[in-house]
Amino acid sequence: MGKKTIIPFGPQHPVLPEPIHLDLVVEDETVVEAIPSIGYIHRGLEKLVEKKDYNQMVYVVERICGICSFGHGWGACLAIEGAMNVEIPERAEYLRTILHELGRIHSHLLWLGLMADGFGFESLFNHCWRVRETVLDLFEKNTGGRVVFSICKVGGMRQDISDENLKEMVEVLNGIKKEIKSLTDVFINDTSVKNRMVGVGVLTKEEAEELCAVGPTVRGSGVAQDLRLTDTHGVYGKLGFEPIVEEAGDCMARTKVRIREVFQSIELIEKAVSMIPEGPVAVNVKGNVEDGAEYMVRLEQPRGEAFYYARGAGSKFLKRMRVRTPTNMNIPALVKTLQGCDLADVPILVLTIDPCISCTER
Amino acid sequence: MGVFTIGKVLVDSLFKKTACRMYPVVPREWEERTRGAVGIDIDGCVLCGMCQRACPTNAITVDRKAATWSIERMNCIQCRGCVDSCPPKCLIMEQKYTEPNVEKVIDTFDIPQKKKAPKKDAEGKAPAADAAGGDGPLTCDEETCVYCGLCAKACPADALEVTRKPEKVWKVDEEACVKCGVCIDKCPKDSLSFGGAAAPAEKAEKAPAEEAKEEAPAEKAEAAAAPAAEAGLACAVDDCVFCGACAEACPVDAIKVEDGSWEVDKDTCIECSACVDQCPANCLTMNVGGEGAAPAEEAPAEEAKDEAPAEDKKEAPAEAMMEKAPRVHRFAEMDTELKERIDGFLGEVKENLVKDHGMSEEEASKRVEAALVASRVKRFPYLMGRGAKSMADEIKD
Amino acid sequence: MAYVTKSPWVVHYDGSSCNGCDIEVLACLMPMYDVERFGIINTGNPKHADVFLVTGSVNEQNKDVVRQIYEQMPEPKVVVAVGICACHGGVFRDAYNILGGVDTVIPVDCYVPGCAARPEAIIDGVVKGLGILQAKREAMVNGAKAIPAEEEAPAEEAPAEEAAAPAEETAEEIKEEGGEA
Repeated sequence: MGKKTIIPFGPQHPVLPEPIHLDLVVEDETVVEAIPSIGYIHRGLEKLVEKKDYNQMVYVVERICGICSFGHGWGACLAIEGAMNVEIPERAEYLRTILHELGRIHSHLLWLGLMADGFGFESLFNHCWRVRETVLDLFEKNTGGRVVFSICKVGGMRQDISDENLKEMVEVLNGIKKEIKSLTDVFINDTSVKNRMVGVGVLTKEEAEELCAVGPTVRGSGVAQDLRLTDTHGVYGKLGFEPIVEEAGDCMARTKVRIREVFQSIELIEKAVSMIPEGPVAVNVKGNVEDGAEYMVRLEQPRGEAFYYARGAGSKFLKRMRVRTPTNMNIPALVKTLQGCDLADVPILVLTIDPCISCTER
Repeated sequence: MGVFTIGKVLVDSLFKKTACRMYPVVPREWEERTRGAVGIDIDGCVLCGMCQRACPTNAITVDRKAATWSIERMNCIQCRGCVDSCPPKCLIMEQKYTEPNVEKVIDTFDIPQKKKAPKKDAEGKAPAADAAGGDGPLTCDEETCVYCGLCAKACPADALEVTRKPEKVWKVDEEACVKCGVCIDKCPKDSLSFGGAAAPAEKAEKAPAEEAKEEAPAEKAEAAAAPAAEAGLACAVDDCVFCGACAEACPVDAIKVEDGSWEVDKDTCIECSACVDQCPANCLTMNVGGEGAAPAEEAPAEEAKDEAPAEDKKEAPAEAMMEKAPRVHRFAEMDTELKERIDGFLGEVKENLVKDHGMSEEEASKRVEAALVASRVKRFPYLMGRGAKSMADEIKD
Repeated sequence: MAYVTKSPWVVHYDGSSCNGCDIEVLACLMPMYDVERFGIINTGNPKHADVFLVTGSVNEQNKDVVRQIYEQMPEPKVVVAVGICACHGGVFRDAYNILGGVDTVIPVDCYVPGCAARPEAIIDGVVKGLGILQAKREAMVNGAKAIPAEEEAPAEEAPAEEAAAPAEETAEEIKEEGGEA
């Protein structure tokens, strides 16, 4: 029996840019239990529906998280459009899908870099983020912002993206494919990386399903759950693809899922750009959401399943806007995997679920 | 072997150009759409306050009394909400960001006060000054309003309510109204203004305008040889692309556009010109009734009315009269002086027939009588306006 | 290349932000913007740091943390508030849990606007902060009270001076404009 110590981890720590507090009950370098304590980023923005009308609320929801920002903006717009029974033009659906997949690429590249930093591989961290800057340049050219885009509005898109820009986007992405491949090969093949990630933080299929994990966390454990197939947002139904599933359930499996998703997203963007129709990108939406009109929608964010709900109050303010984000569902899985791990593995495990604490706490 | 697999990447990066942007030594070139900071064209601003309403962080303050527009730079999220919602489109998104500072920067701009240029009506006369520049509540001149609803559609604050059925209603919510003036610009009938005092002044202007209208067609009557341009809405079908934008814009559904065919129901058409604005091919023209050449035919009728009040008894009784008693002039009830004038005119016509066309006097008299009796009687006043010689030319056959 | 003679270390903390500005702060350290050229390292330990980069409008639970980190930093130190959430509260200012900007908790030396603040703006802000840091250091050495850098531009830090000098001019211009308008 070793001596139990409690090591407080966070809220200010070099692993993540976000504050999260974990009380790690440690017995001789092995973590026995992890008690999370969150609430450092809670802004209470769902209550802001009382003060900001539904158009301004889209900006607020967009800023729940800077990494998955486009997905939040899209979800909020979908929920409000559904409550108002507004049908948006097809070109807008395609553009939203393309930008969302681009957001997925940038999010996974960011995560790969942070993961590398988590086990000390700083040069890999730098290279991943260098490649990610190319994607951010694409964002800036098309939407005007690097991190928060403000291009979705209720009724469609604020600005159109020209076909030349879309073709250039596809060319640039195909150009960096090779570089991404060489970097991700390091993750998969390098011995030192494998030592840190293979067999670490195993989440079996039953555990993953029981704990209701979502996103790549659960897809790395053998469960083929991807909302892009089942739900009707965007044009994924027309693009058609297979969800990426790995069986092992350890950190390496989840990393492989995310790596393959990057390449899959590049293919999806290429397909969507070839199929995008001409037409307007927005409909003029006037008036208020009816009292009692409600709508819910689920989106596949880079981290998993996100849920958006909007209810109208008959005036320009909404009555309720509820957002449930994927990391919320993954934290129990995190706590489970932390039990019995080495102290040095704690950063890796915290990162492997791709935590976005600002999403969780809103 | 998986050792040092990153070696290739590292060796490559040793020999490649640096990925670094070398900022701040190398200045940055921005993309076209980069959202940096909000700029304002102070000449275009009308202090309506729509930007203040749209701003999610309340960074913009519009002070109407002091005529200033100010923005807290350290509070602006560069969302373009204000740029998109500005009715006169005087806000732009600049590419350069606000520089970091040791204190919170608030930029204030003074907006120069100006009167709105009054719109000119169809005759080229400017309406009463200050029609749009007043300071009172928005009012609608109900006599000229056609309830087309263009103002309500254009209103950025949703402050107007206009309905045609079951009854004609025009209402403004004065609390919601931001006094931006977009509705005044859009109104095809110039019925809207700020402040009630301008309305009577407009009416006073319109009275002389109408008189001028009556004199002008008298000249037009000479100029126009045949019935001039069609009254109401006309489509240049050669240019038409049959897109249906006009049919969609029509508030009364008077236009029907099908593949290759365009038609308008002129009885339903209220001549609001909403379709003309929407046409992407610019092939629609609206000749509002009463201002086109139609009065050219009616005005001489009005003129002749002064001289021949009996004519307003309408052609049918006159013709009936003529059938029964051909020798009875339809001017039978005119006063003597006028009768003399007409007799004198007819005498001149006879002379012309005799001299220029070599008719005998009897022949000429018969011709003149026949002309008066025949369908040409309708055009008699018009012919009289043209002169005896032309009438003789007309009836010589 | 004598950009900076002293290499200032940065501690970064997210005080209830959406992560957008934090990602951009990390992007400054990455090859594209590379403030490591100037010797700036992102350290995790406040006791080793000179510049405190804070993002986010601070919420009730976070204010003690922010204050603690500030107090753990040794003098002289500079606080740079990155992003409009840190300057003013941003879109969340009206929320019930938000205090409204970092300056409600600790004194701020430089405000960097933007949502999310661009890496170029963050670099500009940090360089300005470095000018203030140098002035504070000199004041400490001379025993005088710390004064802001607008009056004294340091001669040693070349790029800090280059960038701080036009930056000072801009600061003065803005002050003048603010006075006139």
